[in-house]
This record gives sequence, structure tokens and C-alpha cells, in this order.
Amino acid sequence: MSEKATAAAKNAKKPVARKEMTMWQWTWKEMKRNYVAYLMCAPYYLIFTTFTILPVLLSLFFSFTIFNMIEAPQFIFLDNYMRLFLDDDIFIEAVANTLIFAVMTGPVSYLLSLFTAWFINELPPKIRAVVTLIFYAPSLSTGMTFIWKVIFDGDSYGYANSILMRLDLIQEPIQFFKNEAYVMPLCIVVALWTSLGVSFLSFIGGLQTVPKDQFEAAAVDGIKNRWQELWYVTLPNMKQQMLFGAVMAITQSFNFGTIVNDLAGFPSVNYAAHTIMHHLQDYGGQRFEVGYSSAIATVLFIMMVGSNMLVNKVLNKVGQ
Amino acid sequence: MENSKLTRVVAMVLSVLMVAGLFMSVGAAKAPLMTTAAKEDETSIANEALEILGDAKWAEYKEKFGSQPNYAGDDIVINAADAIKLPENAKVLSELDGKTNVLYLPSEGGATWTVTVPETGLYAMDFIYYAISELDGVKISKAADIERTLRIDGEVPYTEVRNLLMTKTWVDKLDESQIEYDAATGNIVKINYEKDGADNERRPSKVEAPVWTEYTVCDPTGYYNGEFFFYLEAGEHTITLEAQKEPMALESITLRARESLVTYKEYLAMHRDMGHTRAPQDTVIRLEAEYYTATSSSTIYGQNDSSSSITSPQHASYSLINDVGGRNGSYNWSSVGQWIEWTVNIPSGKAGFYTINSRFLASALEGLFVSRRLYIDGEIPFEEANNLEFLYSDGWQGAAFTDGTNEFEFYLSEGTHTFKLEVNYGNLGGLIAEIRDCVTAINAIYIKILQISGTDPDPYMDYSYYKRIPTEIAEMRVLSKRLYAVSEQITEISGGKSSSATATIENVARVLETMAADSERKIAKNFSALKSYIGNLGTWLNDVGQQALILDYFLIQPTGNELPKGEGNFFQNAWFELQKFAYSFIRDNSSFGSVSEGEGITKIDVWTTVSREYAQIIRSIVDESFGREYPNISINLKLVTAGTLLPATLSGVGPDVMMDVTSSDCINYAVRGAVLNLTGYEGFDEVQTYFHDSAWVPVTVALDDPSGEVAVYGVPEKQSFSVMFYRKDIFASLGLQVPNTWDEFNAIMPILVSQNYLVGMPHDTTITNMFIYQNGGSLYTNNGTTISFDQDVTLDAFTQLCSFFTTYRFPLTYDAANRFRSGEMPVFIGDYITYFNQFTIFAPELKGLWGFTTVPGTVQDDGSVNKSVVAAINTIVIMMDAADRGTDQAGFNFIKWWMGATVQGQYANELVALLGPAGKYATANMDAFYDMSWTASELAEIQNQFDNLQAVPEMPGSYIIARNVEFAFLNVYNNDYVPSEALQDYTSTINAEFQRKRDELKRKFYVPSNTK
Repeated sequence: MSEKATAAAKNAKKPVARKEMTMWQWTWKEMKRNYVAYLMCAPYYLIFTTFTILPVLLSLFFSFTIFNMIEAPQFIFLDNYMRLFLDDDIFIEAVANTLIFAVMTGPVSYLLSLFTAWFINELPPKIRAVVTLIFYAPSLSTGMTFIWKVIFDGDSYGYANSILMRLDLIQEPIQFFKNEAYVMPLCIVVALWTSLGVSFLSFIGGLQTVPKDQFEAAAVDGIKNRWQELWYVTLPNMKQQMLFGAVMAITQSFNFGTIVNDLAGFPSVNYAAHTIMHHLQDYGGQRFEVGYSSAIATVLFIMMVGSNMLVNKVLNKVGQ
Repeated sequence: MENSKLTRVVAMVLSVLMVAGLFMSVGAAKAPLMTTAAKEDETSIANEALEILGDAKWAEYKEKFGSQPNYAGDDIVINAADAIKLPENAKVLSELDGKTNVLYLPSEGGATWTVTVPETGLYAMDFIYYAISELDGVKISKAADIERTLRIDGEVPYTEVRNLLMTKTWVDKLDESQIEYDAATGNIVKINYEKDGADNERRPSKVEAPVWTEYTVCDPTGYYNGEFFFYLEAGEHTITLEAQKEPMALESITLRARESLVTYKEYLAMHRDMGHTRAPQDTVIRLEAEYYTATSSSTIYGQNDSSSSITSPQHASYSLINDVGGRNGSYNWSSVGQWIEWTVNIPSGKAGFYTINSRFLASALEGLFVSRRLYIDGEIPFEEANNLEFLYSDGWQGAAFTDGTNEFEFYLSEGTHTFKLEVNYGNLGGLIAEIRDCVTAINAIYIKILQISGTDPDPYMDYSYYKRIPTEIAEMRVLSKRLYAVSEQITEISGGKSSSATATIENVARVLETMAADSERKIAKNFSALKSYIGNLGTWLNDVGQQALILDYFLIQPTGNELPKGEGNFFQNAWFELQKFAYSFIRDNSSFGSVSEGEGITKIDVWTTVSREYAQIIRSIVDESFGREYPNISINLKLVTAGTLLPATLSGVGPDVMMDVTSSDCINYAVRGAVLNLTGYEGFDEVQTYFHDSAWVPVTVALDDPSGEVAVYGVPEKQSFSVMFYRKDIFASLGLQVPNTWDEFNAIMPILVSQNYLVGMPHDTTITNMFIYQNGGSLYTNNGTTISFDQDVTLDAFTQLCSFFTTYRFPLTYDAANRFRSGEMPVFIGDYITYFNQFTIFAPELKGLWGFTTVPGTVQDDGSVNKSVVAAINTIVIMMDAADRGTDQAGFNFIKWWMGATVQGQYANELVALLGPAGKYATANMDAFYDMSWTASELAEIQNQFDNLQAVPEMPGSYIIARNVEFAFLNVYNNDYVPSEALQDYTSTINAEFQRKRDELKRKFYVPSNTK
């Protein structure tokens, strides 16, 4: 209180009205007045700017150049984008794959997280803790995908091949991760398996914070079944967690690059599971074309921001 | 509420499923580990494999002839110079280190002597040999033990004498002024080792110090104690020594009466009868173990232990040499036959009985013990000294020399004595031999079953095993009983505790028992279990093979005095850790260099991406000899992670010299102007001669024009290529010859396939390129500007590759090591050094039963066979920044020194010391490569393949080739495309990428006109 009082006293000495100042003057004055707050924010903003905003801007800049990390960049304006959209078949394929991935894994994994969380929430607390861990475990480490590699190994000793051969369903091993027919579906399955991650945990947390009295009140108000209860009581109470989960799901669905790399190698057979992330990695890492891969990154960035906005809108309809 | 119950049930079911999934994943994670070691193997024609398989074992020989009378007459001495047959280059030396008229035997070929024995009976045999290192002033020895095969009358009497092992003697190169002696006793109290720039002690280099040594023919494998005997009938016999490794000089061969050692009881009684008593109680002689006088190998040396606060001498910051031996997993002083010798002075008036106590760390064999054999003054004092035991513990311990029952007292007279500890298997030896025999027998049975029912037998099918392999089934029963017996004995030895060892053994025994009991139903069912259990048992055998032990110091004192302390007390440890912590603020241990600053000194940064152990070896070699050669250059060696180079270069803080750069990265950096063209540097012409011509191809380009200036952007560091591995025993049993050409290869395919065997061949660009180059084609056309996928040669080569996979359905994915070991895959093509290393340690039970040879070749129009393979290289480069800093010539001097034959040879040997026989290193330096400890026949095969090396030039944009070849191949394999069309489809994609790169990049690279 005393601080505020002294600040007010200082202001009183110099009675300058808002109207008498330009916008910048006024901002500067306000900033000086609240310098403690700015000081508190500074470390975070410094780091955030250096490591998040600056790279995004830099990447935007590089997307208009030819740049190979060693020699100085060379400005070419929109050439990268033109080549990307008009002269790169594999990019178009990658966009298609990414969208399939995003649509399959985004909403599906989101709903899966939600419903699994809902089911688990019904269990007694001790069992719930154990089961939560079991469901959450796959997403703890990316290396966990190797189990799928063992199961679907192209060797005749891979579990799936071995079982199928023993049952005489096939005569020789199927190259699950080296055959276009299997690569994409398998990657999607694995992606779903690992996707019960942070959003799932936050759902469980959210479910437990829903006040009990609201259920009672809802019962009095005439809720007929559990579905109605979910829709009218539980979900509206969990909007924060759901938004968080949705953002996570979207970011994840666009980012499934590593899983595909682990399973199908890089690049996947005939680019069958080639996503935008892979395309970016291909040009940035292997071909030393940072300019072009920055252009790809920009496109990916816009796609992500767009879908986040869309999801935001959809989530606002929950409970209505 | 109904709903909620339903949800609960659903939730339960779901979670149970997930739990099951998790357990499956844990089970799968337990894939067998391939670690550990064995000895060198030998290569030769397949028939020799049969001979080896047919060899008697010492145990059988002993059983058969043991009851024959012992020869009891005088020694029969054969003068080595009287040989009736000598190998090429052998000669009689008139004088060698004090002996006259001795025979020099080179590292190849056999020498034969005749001898007439007066009576039929059992004889023991001695050699007096000298590990000759120089002949006429030229160094002829390598850092390996001497290996010889002994034949009597042309036959190998039992398999153990196939690889007789004679050790060499190595000493530390120390100046007498560095050694401080105790004035009273004359024992070494301190050695002042040289120090590096950071005040860490630098270990002295080692030199061979050959001495005339008497070698009694005994078991080189370490399973059996005591001397070997030979049953000879009266009359004339021939004795032949066939060289496996290393030259030697021989004075004489002696046939003599057998001798046996006294027991410990007799030893004590004998000395008591002579009136000897316990030494004066206050005589305590302390000797640091790292102050040894000699070792058997160049790689056994003093090391630093910084884990324990009371290892002496110890310092919290500087690395002091304070122990000797092999850490867990290292191969120093861990393999049978390796020894260390110490010298101790007993002051006058102090003669008497002493105990020898040591502070040691034996953390290698959990639940068991490691063994050593003790020699005092060159003799084993009594029978039990064969079986010294150092019990397992994960911390340091102090104890007297013991065999598990007695704490030994030794009588030491006044004056100088030597004592020597040699690695053996002690009390476990017989058991390990038994297990090894069983594993070999089970493997043979496994292959028999494999031939009947394939790799994956159907449990519901009738294979009629009991009719087809009745003897094998009976043998299974016997083997099972033998293994159970061994397991029981091990439990007994380790004090009644069952361990992972016994569990591993019993698993195999149980499966065999089941299979034998109900062969028709259980063999097929348990077949894969049997395979994995044998694998585990083999791995365990390897682990036991490494008897790692570290010694800190000895206390030589009469019994009753205080023993060495194992670990420091709480305060000692706390103080030590506190000091370490404090020093960590002052001392920089992250960089490996011994940087010295000063006038006229050029400092260069060298970066490497190898593992820390490797980097330490590099540093120690740099410390040891680079400074001597180039006093004005100071090396700062840094260990970095791969991928650091690019950002570091971008920000201008990159190194001067970068090691381990792949050839494609080298060219990628070069075309963007980040690495230097090396052709102009002083000494480049000399460096060029270090390597095979093919090693230069990937890093050599023509600038601006195919016939323009030729630039070289890196120096080859490692070179790897494929050879063909094959199982001699399986080839012999099928009566097949190892194919020399692809036609012959194709001819044996139906036979192998009909017997359920698999063949391993990679389907990547290395093999495609191999076929292209064998047919005289090349990967690029138009000097590297276009791909040759529209050329007939290339398309035919690709078709040839695909045909193996479409016609014989070669497996696409396979674990070559496991399948080769189990015999499913008796032949495959793979990288020579990777698999050579892997099999030497991974499949010791197959020693001598597998070999490698050049890849099959393509018959040319003129009838010759082209056996080309395509080699891949790693390079060392000098970064452009070095030119700006003016350190480029210094950098090149470093590269020239590092890639020289001497230094590369030393590096290769140190790696073998660190990693064991599996540490063979694919150095690109040909002289260093040949100098590694190969057997003569292995070397011949490798040289043969080396002579047929080709390399593919590296061009900007070449990354596009491998992936498209893979796509084309998979289109053929999965979707039945026609190979030539499948490949041709990608021509334009690849050419377009090449063109794009050419347009983008300022520098234009071409394949020089004179190369393909």
C-alpha cells in the first residue's frame, strides 16, 4: 500500500494529463512508473525473444534467400515459395500426408485422451494412479516406439511376421516399414499410441476439479444420463484443460516427424509417410538449403496457427 | 448407476490390455546383448574346419594315454638349428643375446625336426625361445603374442596345441633417475613419471625387452593346469612348429620326463624341515603394483583410479598413475596367458615365511572370483599356486594371496625375488571347458535340426525326428545331464549360491531334457528357445573369459600383520570428494589438449567426435610423441558431438582440424568453401603414399572443368569395405566350395536354399555399385554431372542385385551376427571390420569354423575375374578458418603425423588393448593396417580384397542417389516392377537434382577426367 501511496504522491507533484502527452511519452511514463513489473518480466522476455521470436523472424527472413549456413545469404525474394508450391511434387505429397496425419491423429487422439481420462476417472483412486501411469508411460520417452519396430520388424523373427508365418497366413516376411501399403497406417497407429500424453494428464486433472455439487444440482435439474452430464457439466468445467489439450494435440499432430523417422527411416519408402517436417529436415539438414527449408517452416507455422484458431472457435461451442 | 458399472468394466478391460502391452515391450527389450571376447581365429580352407572339428581334446587324450608309463630317462635336447625342414626366410643366427647358433623363424611357414626317443611313454616338452623383435636392425615384430601350431608326425595330437601361446616381455621406458629406491631395503618407493602440460602423470611408453625364456608346453586356453604330455612310441618322430603369428628365435626343443608340483602342505613341510621360520614380525615391505618390472603385453600399464580416496598415490585433481590391471570390460591383463611381474628385495637377516597381501578390485565376475597363477622366481611354488582366487566385490578389498582355502605363506630368502601373476581360469577352468564342449556339441545338433525343419519349425507337423536323428536325440539327453552337473559344481564353488551363471546353464539343460524326452512334439516347439539359450550361454562364456583384476599395492609381510584396507573411511572419502569438488572450479578437464603457450608456438584446435575412451587414447598418443616431433605446435584436442561443426563454422569459432568427417560431408563443406584444398601443403606428396588409391577418389575433384585443376579436400582416415563371410563347417558338410565368381555363387544357391539356409546380402548402393564397377561401369556419367541409370551396365548390375531377392528371396532384414552364429545364414556379405570384430568376441565357440574371403567376382571377357568392391572412407579435413588464422600448415603437419604408419599402428594397438580383439580399427593407412595382429591367412584375404578396391567419387547432391536406389529396389521387391525400368524411372529426378545443385553453387566440381 505504501508503495502505491508514494507513487501517487510523485504523480501528484507533476500533474500532467494524459491528453497533453503523445502516445509514446505516455507509454514511457507508465513504463517508468511500473518499472518493477518490467524488471520482473525482463528475464523471461529476454529469453523468449532471443530463443523464440528472433528465430521465427530470422527464419522468415531466410525464407526469401538462398542460404547454406556457410556462405552469406543471397536474396531471391519469392523464388523459394514459387518453387515450393509450383515445382516441388514431394512438398505437395508432404502437405497431403501432414494433413492426413493431423486429421487422423489430432482429433482422434484428442477424443481418445478425453474418453480414456473419463473412464479412468471412474476407477478407485489407487488403481487410477497405476492405470494413469500405464497410459501415460508411452509418451514419456520417444524411444518407446522401438517396441513397434520389434513387433513389425521386417525380419522373419519380428513378432508380427513370426506369428503370421506360424499361422501360415504368409510365406515370407512382410516389410511393414518398407512397403508403402503399410507405412502410413502403422505410423498413425503408433502416433496414437504415444499421443496420450500431457493433454491426457491435464484432462484427468480437470475431471477431478469438477465440483461435486454441480452434479447434484444437475441431477435435480433433470439430467437424464451420463452423456448429458458429460456435455453440460463436466466439459464446460474443463474448458481450460481442453483448450490446452487441443493446442498440444495440434502441435503434436504436425510434429510426428521423429516417430516416422524411428519407424520407417528417413526418407520413408517412396515418400509414403513424408510430412512437412521431413521435407524441412531433408532440405535443412541433408541438402544444406536453409533458405528453402525456412520457407517450408513458414508454411508449416501458418498452418499451425490457422488450425489453432479453428480449434479455439470449435471449443467455444462446448456445452452449448 | 448401471452406466457407471459399465464404464468401470470397460476401463478395467482397457487397462488390462495396456498392462499386457507394457509387459510385452519389457520382454522384447531383453534382446540378447552381444559383448565380450575371445581370441583370434584362423582362416584357411574349409577342409581344415573339418580337421579342427575332428581334433581330439586334451581331456580325451589324457583319458586315453594317461595310464601309459612316464618316461623317466634323461632330457632329450634337440638343437633348433638342426631342423630338417625350414620355412622361407628362416635362418640360423650365429649369435643372439648371449646364445650362439640359434634358429630364427619368421611369422609364416613351418619348421620340422626329427627326434628319436628311446622308449615308449609320456613325455613333456619345453622350448627355449626368444621373442625376437629386430633382425639385422629392422623391426620385425608386432604387438602380439607368438602363436604356433605343434604337430607331431604331421598330426595335431590334440586341439589345444593348435595355438600355443608364447608371450613377449615388455618394460616401461623409464630413466633410472626417475626411480627412487628405499635406502634400507632396495625396493622401489617412488617413480617420478613425466607430467603433461596440466600436471597429470603421463604413462611411460613401452618397449620390447626380449629375454631367453623357457616355455613348457601347457594349455594356452587356460582351462587345465599343469604341463601337457605327449605319448610317443620308441623310435623316430618328427616335431613341427607351424607359425600362426609373429616371428621367434628358438634355441632348443627338449623332451623330458614329466614333473609334478608339490602340494602346499609338502611345500611347508619341506621348508620347515630346512629349519625355515616366519620372517621377523616387523618386516613390512610395501610395493606399489604399478611399479612392476615387466609385463607380457604392450597394453598392460599403470593407470589412474580416481574412484577411491585411498588408492595410492592419489590426488583429488591431478591424474596420477596409481594402479595396474584391467577395468571391467577392458582387455588389459584379463585374457589367459597375460602376466605382470614384480621384483622385491628381502633385506638381509629378514629371510623367512611371508604372506603377499594386495589391495585389489575384482568387480568383473559377479558372484564368482577371478583367478591368477603365481610364479615366484619363474617357478610355480606349489600346486595350489595355480589357483589364486580374488573374490568378487564391487569395491576395493585387501587380502592375502589365497586359493579360497589357505592363506599362503611363501618362503623368501634374502636378496632379490621376482613374482609374477598370470591370468588363468583356476578352479573354474575345467568347468568352463566342459561348458564350451557342450555348446559346440549343441550347436552341431542345432544345425542338424535346422537342416530338417528349417528356422521356424511348425509344431504341428510331423518331421520324424526320432527316425532321422536318433543319435542326436540320445546325445541331447547326455548333454543335458552334463550341464546339470556343471551347474551344480559351480554352485558348490561359489559357496552354495545359485547365480545368473547357473540359471543360464540350467535353462539350456532343461530345454535339451524336454526335447529329448518327447522329441516329436517338443523339438519343433522349443527350437527357438534353444537358440536363444545357447546364445546366452555363449555370452556368459565370454564374460567369464575376461578375468579383469586391478591391483593397487602389495604388502609383503609375515602373517598376523594388518591387511591392506579396502575402502577409505567416511572422513577420508568425504574430504577427498570435497577436494575434487573444489578443484572442479579451478581445473578445466573438458579439453583434452596439453596446451602450452609461448613464443613461436602455433596452437591448433583439433576436434573429434569419437567416444571418450578413444579420445583419451588419441590424447595420450599426442602427448607421448607429437610434441617430440613438432615442438612448436601445440594441440588442443576437443571432444564434440556430431553436428557441432556446422554451427561452429558458421559463427567462426570452429576448429582448425576436424576428424571423422564422412566423405560426403567433406565435399559438401568443400563446395561451399569451408574446407581447404590440401594439394599445396608441404608433405602432401608423402601423405598421398600412405593410402590405397581408391581412398582418395571420394575427396578428389576437378575444379570448374573436368580436366581442370585437381583439388583434394580431405585425408582418408578410415576405410571400410565388404567381404564375404562363410561358415567353413557348413560348407564342408554340404561339400560346397567357397564361390569365387557370381556364377559359382549362383550355382550353390539352390543347394543352400533347399537345405533351409539363408544368404545375407545388403540391398543398398554399396552392392549396386559393386556390381556396376565389377562390370566396368561407373556411377556417374559426363564427369559427375549426370547419373548412369540410363546405361545398360548400370541397369544390368541393378537387375543382377534384384534377381537374388526375387529369385531366391534373400531376406531383406536380418541380424547377420545371430544368424551366422546359429548357422541359419552360412554365408553373407558384410563390412569386414564390423563383423570380424563381432564374431571374434561374439561366437568364440565357432573359432576356426568361419572365415572370410573376397566377394565373388565377375568373369571378364578376357577370362579374368573382377572382384571389385566399393570402399567408403572417413576423412580428416582442415577448415577454411585455419587459413585465416595461419595455422593451416601446422594443421597439415598434425594430419601427416597422425595418419603416419607408426602412429596409426600404435592407435590400433591401443584400441585392441582397450576393447579387446573386437577393437580392430579400420585405419586407412595400409602399412598400419597390415601391421595389426592378423593371422597370415586373414591378412592374405584382406590384402587380396584391398587390391580390388574401387571408390565412387562424391559429388554435390549425391544424397539423392541412395534414397532413389532404395525406392527403386523396394518397387521391385514389393510391387514386382521390372528392375531396369524401376531404376530408370529415377534418372531424371536425380539428374534434375544434380543440375539444381550445380546452378545453386558457385564452385563447380567435376569428376577428374582420369578417374571413373
